[in-house]
Amino acid sequence: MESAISNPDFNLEDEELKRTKRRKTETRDPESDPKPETIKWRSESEQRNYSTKLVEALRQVRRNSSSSSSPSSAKLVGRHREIRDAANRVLAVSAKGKTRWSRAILTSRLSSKLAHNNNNYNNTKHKKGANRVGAKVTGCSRLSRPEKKRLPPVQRKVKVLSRLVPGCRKVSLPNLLEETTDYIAALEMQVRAMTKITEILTGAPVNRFASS
Amino acid sequence: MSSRRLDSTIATEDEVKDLILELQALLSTEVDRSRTTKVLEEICNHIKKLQKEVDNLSKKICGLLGPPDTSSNVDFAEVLKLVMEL
Repeated sequence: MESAISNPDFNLEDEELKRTKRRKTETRDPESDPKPETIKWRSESEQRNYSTKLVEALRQVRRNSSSSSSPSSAKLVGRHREIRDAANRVLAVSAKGKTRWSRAILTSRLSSKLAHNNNNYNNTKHKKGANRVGAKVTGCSRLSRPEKKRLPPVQRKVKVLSRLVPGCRKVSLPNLLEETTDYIAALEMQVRAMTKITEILTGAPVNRFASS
Repeated sequence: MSSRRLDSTIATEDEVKDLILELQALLSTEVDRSRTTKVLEEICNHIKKLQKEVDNLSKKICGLLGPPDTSSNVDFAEVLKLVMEL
């Protein structure tokens, strides 16, 4: 066994290390590094992937808008929401189904899309909250219920947080924090990517009859 | 490790990580309630800020893409190329 320590080519030590590392993440040590899925949001390749998919989605949004026949002013306002929804959808897709918030964004879009098709251009008021990532859910439950005792401040803030992260209203506290970490990292990347795209669009558009 | 910050804006992503770790510690001991609420509030505000930024950027991109007529045709191939360069 002494040779294992002195001989650098012997990989028993590496195996020990790997096993310890695996054990560490399995026991969910809160002091350990963030999960690799969260780290990936910071990588350039991930941002490039996201940006590419988003640009394709923007191209699609633009194509769809040109074929619809609603008045132009309403179209412009509605279109920024379409762009934001596309950005969130692409972000959720990039998460590859590993997090609750990303799955919530994708399933809520599906259900609202089905409802939309059924209702024949009903109205623009959204139904459930997960699609409206930017909007806060106002307390309609507060209005319908009689006045009740307020929760302690910590619980109240936890509730606010659970409403901000999509799909996390009823998850346990440790899971909520995990989702929050990943969600924030993803949002930061989204902001970086969209900022870059904005810069490119400010400089790059060319008046060509290229296929859009 | 994570010192008590005086201002309430999160500048770097490492600060977010530290905050969440601090929050986990605070929530497990349940001793310092005022600090817990403060940290929770900062995290919530940070998320709201990020979501608002995404919204603003969507509006900007909407304006830049312009109305979908042929006069302001954005060259998406060019945009894709520049995006890949980073």
